[in-house]
Amino acid sequence: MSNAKTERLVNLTMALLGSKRFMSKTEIFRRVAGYSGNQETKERMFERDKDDLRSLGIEIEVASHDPLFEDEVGYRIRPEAFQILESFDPEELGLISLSLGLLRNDEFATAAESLNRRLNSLSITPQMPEELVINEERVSESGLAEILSALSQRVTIAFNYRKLDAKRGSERKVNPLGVSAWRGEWYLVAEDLERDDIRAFKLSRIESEVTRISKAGAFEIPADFDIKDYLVMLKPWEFSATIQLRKSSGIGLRNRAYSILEIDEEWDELKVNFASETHALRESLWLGDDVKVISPDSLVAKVVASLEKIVASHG
Amino acid sequence: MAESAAARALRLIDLVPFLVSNPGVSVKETATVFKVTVPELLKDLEILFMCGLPGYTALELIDLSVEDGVITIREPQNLEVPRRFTESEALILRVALSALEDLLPPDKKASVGKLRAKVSKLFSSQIPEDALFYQGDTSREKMKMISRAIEGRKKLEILYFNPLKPDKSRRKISVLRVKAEPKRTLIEAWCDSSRGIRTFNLAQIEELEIKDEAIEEIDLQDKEERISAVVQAPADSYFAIENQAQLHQIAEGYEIEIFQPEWLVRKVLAEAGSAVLRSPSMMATRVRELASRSLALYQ
Repeated sequence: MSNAKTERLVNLTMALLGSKRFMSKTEIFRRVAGYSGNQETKERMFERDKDDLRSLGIEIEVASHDPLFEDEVGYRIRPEAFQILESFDPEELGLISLSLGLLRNDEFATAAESLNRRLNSLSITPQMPEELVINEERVSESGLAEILSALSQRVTIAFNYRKLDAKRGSERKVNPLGVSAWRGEWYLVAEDLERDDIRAFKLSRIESEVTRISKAGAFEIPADFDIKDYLVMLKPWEFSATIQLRKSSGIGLRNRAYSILEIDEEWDELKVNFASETHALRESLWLGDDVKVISPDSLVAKVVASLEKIVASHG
Repeated sequence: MAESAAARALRLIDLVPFLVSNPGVSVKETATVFKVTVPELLKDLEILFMCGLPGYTALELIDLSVEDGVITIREPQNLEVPRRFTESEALILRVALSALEDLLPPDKKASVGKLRAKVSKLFSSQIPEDALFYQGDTSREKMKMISRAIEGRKKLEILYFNPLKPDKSRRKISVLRVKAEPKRTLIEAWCDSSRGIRTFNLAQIEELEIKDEAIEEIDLQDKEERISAVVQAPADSYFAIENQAQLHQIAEGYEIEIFQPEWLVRKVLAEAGSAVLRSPSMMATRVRELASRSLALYQ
């Protein structure tokens, strides 16, 4: 029974892939081996087979307006959607293989192995990059596989999330928009449907299974979506200040400056971005008399007030 | 649990291009690659032998044979090309490539970045390239190197960034111990260039390399000299939070043992007036002097 079904699924795939036109159900039942019984049984078999193939990631295209079948729906599998038709050179395959090796110990292991097998079936010998030592790295985190799968199909998900300092978690329903790893932790950026806002979630604070609560393609991700806009630590520093710095000091600031102008033999003038005004204040004070803040005025005022306070309290 | 017919069908589909691109491959090796037993694989091949295109005559069937443990495929029909990545697999591959890109030295990153962009475009038009960002845990990488150096009793060469100094310094060190604190990791080591024991903040070690040189045998009498200082600061200040593990609360404030007086002086300045260095008085004077000199720049 199970062997017969396996055989029928392979035959159906080959037939739909081999057909230049859309195949109607009637045609499928007549021509593809394995469909037997009365009309109703065959219909049920076909519906299940179609769902099975789709759940394996095989795209079956449906058309209802094929000129040959005015009333009937037709099916086919487009080769472009089924086969790897892009070309990869040996070097690229080597890098892919190396990268998939990183997922060896993760929950992605099965997917990585399958990808590797298929790439190794391209009749191109991968060229492994030489002299590359890759330290073992645990890439994934629990829950990431489910989230990536939901993201790839644009499925709404639900989970229980505990915010920092909160005693208990709360149920969240979200549309996943992107994921990011940052220093060993994974983050999900998603549209929180109840809060009607885009929020960031740390995967280690998800306290339940991630469950799917919609069909595939439930939402769209804007083409210009950039996850870095939604994660504080990835946000570009936007507080801009102009400071004068004594030569040969403040190497950290010099490396970050987007403009450096020589003032005289002793001083340079830099334009630098900081994460915030507080950050700029702390860094300027740390450098003591090697730095003089020029603008903005509010920062100058804070630096002067802080220095006065320090002098007074250390009398 | 028994394997589903669908999962088996998928393996059968993937077997065909594998056999095409690996002529003369053995049953045993194929079973290993596909993670099944030899009897399971033989069953797979038996089923595959029955599959084909509509018509199902000898011309339309997949043609293969097994002889002396070697598989030969003569006619793969239309399953010759391997199956494309699903959207979800493409996303997993993008994660893998991002992780690789992050791990590689700077001169090798570009080719992986290009490949990642290629995969993003090819397979997953629905998920924008910037929906995925990966930055690994560099401190963990550095810690692995340090552990290896300790195990192998080898010296490390580090490029160290000390914010108090105008330049980064390259030093050879023999690690004595590693102190993991909530907000930072400190490495205590014998430093060849300063001929003494020094403490390094892991976050400020920018490069490190294990040298094929045995570590120095250290006389622990040489311990880096520590100074005890007292700082008054609010409990929620950066100073109190960052140095939590080092602080002892006493009546006058927090007591802290330090190696570099100048480091503490600067830390107190950075608190913008909310912290006061109580003792030693020489260091408090230094705070005052530095603040006055800075203030003079604005007058």
